[in-house]
Amino acid sequence: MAENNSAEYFLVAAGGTGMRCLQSFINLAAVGMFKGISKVHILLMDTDEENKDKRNAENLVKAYEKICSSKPKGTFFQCELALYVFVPDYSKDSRRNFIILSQLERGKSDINHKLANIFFEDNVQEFDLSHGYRAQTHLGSYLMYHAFIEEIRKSVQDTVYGVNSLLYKFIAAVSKANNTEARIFAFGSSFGGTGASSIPVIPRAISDCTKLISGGAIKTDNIYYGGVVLSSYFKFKAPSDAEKKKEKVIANSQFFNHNSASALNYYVNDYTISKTYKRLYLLGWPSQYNVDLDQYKAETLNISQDQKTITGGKAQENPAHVIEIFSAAAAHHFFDQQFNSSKSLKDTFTTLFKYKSLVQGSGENAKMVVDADDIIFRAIKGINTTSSENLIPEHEELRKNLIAFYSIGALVHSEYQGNLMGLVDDLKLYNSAYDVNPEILESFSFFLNYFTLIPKGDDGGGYLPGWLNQVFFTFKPQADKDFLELPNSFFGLDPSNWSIAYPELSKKSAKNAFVTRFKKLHKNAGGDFGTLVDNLRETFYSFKLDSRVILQEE
Amino acid sequence: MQYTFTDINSLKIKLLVIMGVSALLYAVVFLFFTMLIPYNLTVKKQKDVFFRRVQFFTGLVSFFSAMLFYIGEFLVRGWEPKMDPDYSMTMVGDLLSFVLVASAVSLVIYVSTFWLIARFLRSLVGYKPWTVFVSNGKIFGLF
Repeated sequence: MAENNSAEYFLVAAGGTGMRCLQSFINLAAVGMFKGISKVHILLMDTDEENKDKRNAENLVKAYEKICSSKPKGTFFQCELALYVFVPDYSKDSRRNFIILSQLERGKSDINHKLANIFFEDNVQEFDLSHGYRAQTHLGSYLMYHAFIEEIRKSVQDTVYGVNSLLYKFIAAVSKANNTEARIFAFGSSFGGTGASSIPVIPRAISDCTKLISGGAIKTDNIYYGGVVLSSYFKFKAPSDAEKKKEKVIANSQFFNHNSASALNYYVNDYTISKTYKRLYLLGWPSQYNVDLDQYKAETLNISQDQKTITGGKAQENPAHVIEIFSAAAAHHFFDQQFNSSKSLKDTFTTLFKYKSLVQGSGENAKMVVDADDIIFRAIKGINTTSSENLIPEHEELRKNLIAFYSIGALVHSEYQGNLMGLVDDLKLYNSAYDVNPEILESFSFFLNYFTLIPKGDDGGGYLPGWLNQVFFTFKPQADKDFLELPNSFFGLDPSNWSIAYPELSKKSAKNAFVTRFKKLHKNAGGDFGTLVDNLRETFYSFKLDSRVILQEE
Repeated sequence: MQYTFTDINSLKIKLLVIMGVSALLYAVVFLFFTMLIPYNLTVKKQKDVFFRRVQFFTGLVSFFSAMLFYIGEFLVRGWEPKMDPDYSMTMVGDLLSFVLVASAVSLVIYVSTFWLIARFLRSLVGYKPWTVFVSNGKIFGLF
């Protein structure tokens, strides 16, 4: 992608959906989708410290950072990431709900309550905030904005506190980037709690925070905001009456569509949005194909359906979805100078909404078809160059890299029980010696597992679907090649199908053909860890991929 | 034509050439065999390099034995009727004692041919034959 050398890039991921969009961003960055960008600052914010999606995203960034420290060559892991985490603390008794947090009982409590009652229902004022804002965006926006301001005020007043505040460091980086150009992209849902609450206030909160740390001596003219407006794409069991009574306020996916519709109405009409966001990417999914989380867990993970509705915490770990890939692609579009030049952003005075459509298959219950050019599209890379290596469409390059990375993971699982060191040893036996740091290797193995297949870890063996597999499972193609033009059997929980996407690698002789090609391309060169990863990528990349079978309409 | 005692050196050279060319062909054939053993990738102990070495040494030993015990004598006995009867016994004895030297030389040719092709014609034969000599970056995987 085309980078503006003077610009700095920032991502803000808020809430559970924001975390999963961030995971897609990281995974796509790992396979080289953002290789034109040298560094992205990521602010990860959630109200639920225990949220598994947040933990996963955090671990993924940390593994990515570790791998990046080995300065990998070539295409994978080229975009450096810097992680900042901000979690407003609602775990203490003194901050656990709106009434306590806003100190309604202090001073003239009856007046305070009357004022609060104008904006918030009793239940909303009383529910436990430690599992997030539970789709109460009116409350969430108010609390999130003030959490930002409170954190930065404390950091400004207390230097020691400021040194330890990652939000402060993030805002400081934005302030510094304002001297040239800062592009900030926000991930979050429009239908849930924390993300939906945060997206509307992020530009205002960040801009106000930059003013706080500079003592007001800053004009935020060079900070450009973009974000996704992500409508509902999954559903889960409605809470029981007992749960509603106990929790007071509890997320109910039945209302997600209504939430999304209201949010869209707000985003389109409210000037606090239209005057702050330069670009908003509208992403939606047909409600009849919404992912049923309970069904997914029962069918794919073989987990018996829990009767309890999950409000957050360690149990909140939803599968990845293709729409989250589109969110990452939206960030790619926003960051790319060729799609959004600095001048075009500067000259945008009211939000420009972007969207794209997918092809739908034929038939009554036809589902969507996702090709690589739906994710990113640019006709020809380096259109003004005559160099033949630049004559590959960017989406095809991404597709090949994505599949190559998955294939490496599946190969390592299939032949080495997930231990990349086995492959390193075998290559060494064939005189391709790679010097691999065990710590980097561990991070890479973690990353690879998360991307492809996650070992169950119990004695029975077996795998849980990794990120790309989750996307495949939740996408549920109707035809054999509806997803990235690959045969469905390439995905799934059997890693021995690692070669199936490549017609040149017949399953019987795949290992021999793979190593032969590896040796032919890289000879006995060897090298460091980065070279190994890129050499593996180049080897898979050199094989032709299975191409789409055109579906004939009956 | 009858071989006289003065032809003994030319017969030795002939023996050497025949055995040398045989060694060359033998090396090419066995190198081809080693190429047929596929690369493997497995968490278990890798065997393909071992099998290639077994093939190489099988070729080496079988060739040396054949030359030393059968082919050399077969060639010499084949030339015997054409030798001058007065010197035939001496010439045969001399040639048979030369078979050991010729076999040793052809053995060197077998190894050298194998090594040279594996080392310098990788674009043609791939990297498998080279693993016979070097694996894990060490000679025979050991030194």
